Amino acid sequence: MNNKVAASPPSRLAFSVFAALAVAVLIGTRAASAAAPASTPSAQMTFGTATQVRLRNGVIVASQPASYLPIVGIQVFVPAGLAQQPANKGGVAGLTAALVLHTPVDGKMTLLQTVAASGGSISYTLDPADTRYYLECSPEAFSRLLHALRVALTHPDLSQLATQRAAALARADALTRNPLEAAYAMVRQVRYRGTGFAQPDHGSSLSLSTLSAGDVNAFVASSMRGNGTIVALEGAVTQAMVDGTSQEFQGLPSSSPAPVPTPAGVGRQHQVIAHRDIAAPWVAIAYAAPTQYSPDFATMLVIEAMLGSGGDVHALNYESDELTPTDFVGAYYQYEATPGSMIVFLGGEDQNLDQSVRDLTLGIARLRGAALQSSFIDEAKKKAVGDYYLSVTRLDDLGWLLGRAAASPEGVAFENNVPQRIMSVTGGDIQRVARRYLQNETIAIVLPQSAGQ
Amino acid sequence: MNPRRIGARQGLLALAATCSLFVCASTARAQDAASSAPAMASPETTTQLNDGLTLVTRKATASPTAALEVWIKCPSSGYGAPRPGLARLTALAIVEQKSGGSSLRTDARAAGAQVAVSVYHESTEIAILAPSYVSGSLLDKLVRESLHPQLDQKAFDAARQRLAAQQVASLDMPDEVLRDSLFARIFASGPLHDSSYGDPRTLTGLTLADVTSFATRAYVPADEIVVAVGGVDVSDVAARTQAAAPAAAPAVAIPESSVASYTDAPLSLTRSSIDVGGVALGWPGPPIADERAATAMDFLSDYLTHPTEGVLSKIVNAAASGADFSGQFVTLRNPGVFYVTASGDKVDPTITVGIIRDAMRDALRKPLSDEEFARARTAYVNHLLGSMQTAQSLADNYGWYFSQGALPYSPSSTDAALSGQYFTAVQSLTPQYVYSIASRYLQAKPAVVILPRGPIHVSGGP
Repeated sequence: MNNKVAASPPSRLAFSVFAALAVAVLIGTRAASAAAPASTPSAQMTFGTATQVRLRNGVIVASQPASYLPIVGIQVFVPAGLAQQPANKGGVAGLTAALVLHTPVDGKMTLLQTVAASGGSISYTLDPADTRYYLECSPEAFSRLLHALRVALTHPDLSQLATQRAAALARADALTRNPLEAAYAMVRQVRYRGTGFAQPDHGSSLSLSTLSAGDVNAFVASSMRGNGTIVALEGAVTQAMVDGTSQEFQGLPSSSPAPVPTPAGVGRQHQVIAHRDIAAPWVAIAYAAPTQYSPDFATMLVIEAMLGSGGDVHALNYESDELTPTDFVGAYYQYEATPGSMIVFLGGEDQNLDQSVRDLTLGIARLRGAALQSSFIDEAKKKAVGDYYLSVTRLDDLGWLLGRAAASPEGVAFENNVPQRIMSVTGGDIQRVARRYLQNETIAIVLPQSAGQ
Repeated sequence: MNPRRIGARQGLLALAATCSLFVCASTARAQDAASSAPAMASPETTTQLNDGLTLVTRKATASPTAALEVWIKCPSSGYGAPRPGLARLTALAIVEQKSGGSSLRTDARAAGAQVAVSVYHESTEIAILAPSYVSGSLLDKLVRESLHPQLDQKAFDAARQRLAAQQVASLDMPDEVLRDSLFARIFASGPLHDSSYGDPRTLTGLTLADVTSFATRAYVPADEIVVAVGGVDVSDVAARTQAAAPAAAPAVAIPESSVASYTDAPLSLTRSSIDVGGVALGWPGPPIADERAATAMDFLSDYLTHPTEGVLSKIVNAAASGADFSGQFVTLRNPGVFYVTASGDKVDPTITVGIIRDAMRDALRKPLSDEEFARARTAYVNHLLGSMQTAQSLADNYGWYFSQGALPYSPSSTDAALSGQYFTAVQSLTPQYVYSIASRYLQAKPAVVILPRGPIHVSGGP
């Protein structure tokens, strides 16, 4: 067991300090920079050997064994994300996922209870383009639990609808009061208008109250398709497990899920203001950004490092087994949505918000307009590569990256290609990408409410 | 304290004559003979330099990252009159110390790595999590700075500033406040009595000379371990560590922490600035030397306090929705401590103490059935394996168990077939034995600390 009895305080301060430092460098202050890397990218820059197969119905099964690990991690990507929700059915993705976890699969025991009883874990994450289910278990329990998950995915128990809808309403209400989520929601509302991703993760009380069993069934039927479904296996994976997974998912219909509508582009600046019961204001400043499979992806990762990353792409996603964040300062690169977004969060305990906003604006202008010091670029590249690797150390994250790679045009090689591309980014790339994307910002401001608001 | 282990290390120092390395499967075995060969199929390589420095290296290649850690066995409050926060201040200064124009912190950050300092009552950890491709150069910097602390006023000042900020932040964390207060209640003296963060008054009085003196006494090879896990080259790590190995120096025993004569009457905190209610209950447990008993306590800890499946967790969470409940058995030299904390806006401390004690009594009033025990043990093993899947978590476990004098007992020291010492102990558990351990340690009266809800309190303390 973890026997540590004293942990360091939260890392928010570190993020905040780094963000301030990075922006300071961007606006011209000199900072210490490290020498070039001692070693060039090599075998030490690759994940474990990975393979993928594509079933006839379009399902992708990818695997990346690590034989020294005695557990298995399974990420199942279902093309049932927030963006796939019909515009008037906000919350149906989250409600469906909750129903899946609470579906009886072993007598009266739900999927959640069945997995937990064996010491495993199961959770779901609402992504823009899919709902991800993560199952972690012993190799001995793998076949039984994966089958249970697949059954629940295709036939969620609708008798739990009222209970889970009430829980979703409570989550939606909590998110509304969270200033960070409020700022993020306002940005999404502007930037993703016309898609399900424009709505809050759990929908609104209005949309949730109208969701019926028929809506859930329709959402399941439209998303449980071969094309777009990915199963990524990590850890103590064997060929028998890969084969078993293929058999488990070969029965999905081969048709593709309905295409996700494309949001209207943001052609001008926007400013949105909301009030919440908070002590200090929050500001989110959002720009356009490339998606993960764009040629500009690596360059934008370097820009994110320059701005001071506050967390990885999942930092603000709803995860069923994690608390919703209430604190986030720094850059947040949402590259799983189409189009992507680069959002910089400022405020909270930052006592000098005006100055931070000015620094950011100056920093962005400098990215677009002037040549940057090569030492600063080198350091940002190393930081971006470091962020990339260090954000993927657990089996759930490894499975996520493997699945995303398997779905890319390059296949599983993608996960090892990204760091190489980051190291190849030039000052010219940064200037070009900044000029292309970092304009027409959307500014979301969350202010402390006064009495009566 | 475990004199047997300390004695073995000191004996080894006397044997040291050259700088050669010897390699074996466990530290304990290394201490028995100066020339041993690789033994059973341990996943790690344990090496001990003749100056007493221990090195554990293990390849774990799922992710191209490496956890590089230096652990030092030392009291967080110093060796003489207690000066809480001294070990933390020292470690922070080491991370800030500039040599060759840069510090460990700046080098790590510039390389895309993360540096962390964790200070426990009886050990200090300086850690780097790095992309593998830069791990060699960062290991050089880590061992150079950590194994040879040479501190100046600038580093001291920066560390003091950081520690002051950490002290403020720690007071905003109810579980930290409750845990520290509980340990202060259970232990009358010694490093386990004091918070590793210290307090502002002590911090104000600490000087560079204090920190330097502490580092000289505490940072000696016999009390240090270098751990490298992940995408690392075992021989490369050994060579780099050997090149930076300091000269042997006498190890200084950690002061004892004596158990206080407390009652189970709640101690009400009055020093917190936290406006939530909270409780902490703690019971002294077996020493780490009694490995089977300590393992039984780990099992009980999981059975009772696992965040979602724990028997106590479910009851407390049902009684006070939104409560932040946690608990664990802390494996220590002597005694270990089992404790639980609950805090939150809706936590009524007095009621929650009753709920926890009643639930404990119900859960432990008889042995588990064979069926329930088998299920719970399987779940426990899987929870444990799930928590040890990263290079960092594996490295942390090696460091912790080294610092408690029981490296071979580390749960990390196992292969995929679970053949290690720790998991052998898990398999040896029976319902009756676990019940006997629970009866012995957890049916005693606990130490109880409560954090009343309501107005902010600004003075006093336990």
